[in-house]
Amino acid sequence: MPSTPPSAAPPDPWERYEPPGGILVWIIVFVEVVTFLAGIGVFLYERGADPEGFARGRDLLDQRLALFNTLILLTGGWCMACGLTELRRDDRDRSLRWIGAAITCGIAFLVVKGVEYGAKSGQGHVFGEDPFFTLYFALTGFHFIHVAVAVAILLYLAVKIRQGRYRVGEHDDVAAGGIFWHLCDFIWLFLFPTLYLL
Amino acid sequence: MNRANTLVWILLVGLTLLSFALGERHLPSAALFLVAATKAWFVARHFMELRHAAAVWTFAAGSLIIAFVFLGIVMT
Repeated sequence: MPSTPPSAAPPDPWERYEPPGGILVWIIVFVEVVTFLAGIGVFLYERGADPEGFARGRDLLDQRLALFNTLILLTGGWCMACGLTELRRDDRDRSLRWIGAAITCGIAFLVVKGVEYGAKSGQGHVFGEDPFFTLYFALTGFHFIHVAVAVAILLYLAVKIRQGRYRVGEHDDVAAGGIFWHLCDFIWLFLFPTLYLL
Repeated sequence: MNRANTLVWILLVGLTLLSFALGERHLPSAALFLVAATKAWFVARHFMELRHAAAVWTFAAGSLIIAFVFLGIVMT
């Protein structure tokens, strides 16, 4: 009768619950999303207390710039997804091109956001001015930091891919980095209508 | 490139332009939140690859998206 060799590890019953990219990045995702949901909740609560002030604040923002930035982030997400697909096909050069495009989108987002911050501060609108601009700078600033971290992660992963660190079937780090990148999209999809369109 | 990735990206761009048009016309905020939730669902399921994960992860992500829509509709 065939028997399991004594050296073989027993199957892990939790393995089928392992999310893509590993559990650690998903813990980060859920903590971050809950944090931003709380921030959006505070924004909506304050908006309810002063609808005219928040409508004035919204009208002072540049909605078209925010739309442009949303499209940049979504395009970066698409590039990252394609980069991971190519890496799984073991095409490192194509993968690097896609991930490079995602990094470019991330940097473009940060530059456009920097231009927006510069324009607002030039008009005298700063953190602490009123509830609208305090929450606007807090929420978008926190998101800005996330995008900057995501760009740094993708740069690190791109260097490692170029060095041949990831082989077929060993892409968990890149998948985890991609999920953190898409987290920035995910959060921005909530921030965009809340801050700029309501 | 991957055809499914591209189709999802086109859908996300289309929904973003739709939500911008809705916002400019000052339509009910519930419509804006529902469009945002639909986009977030596609990002989570497709780009974040939850479609390959156990159902419990999809349920958790879906709960957060529903919480956002609930928050948006109740508080606006």
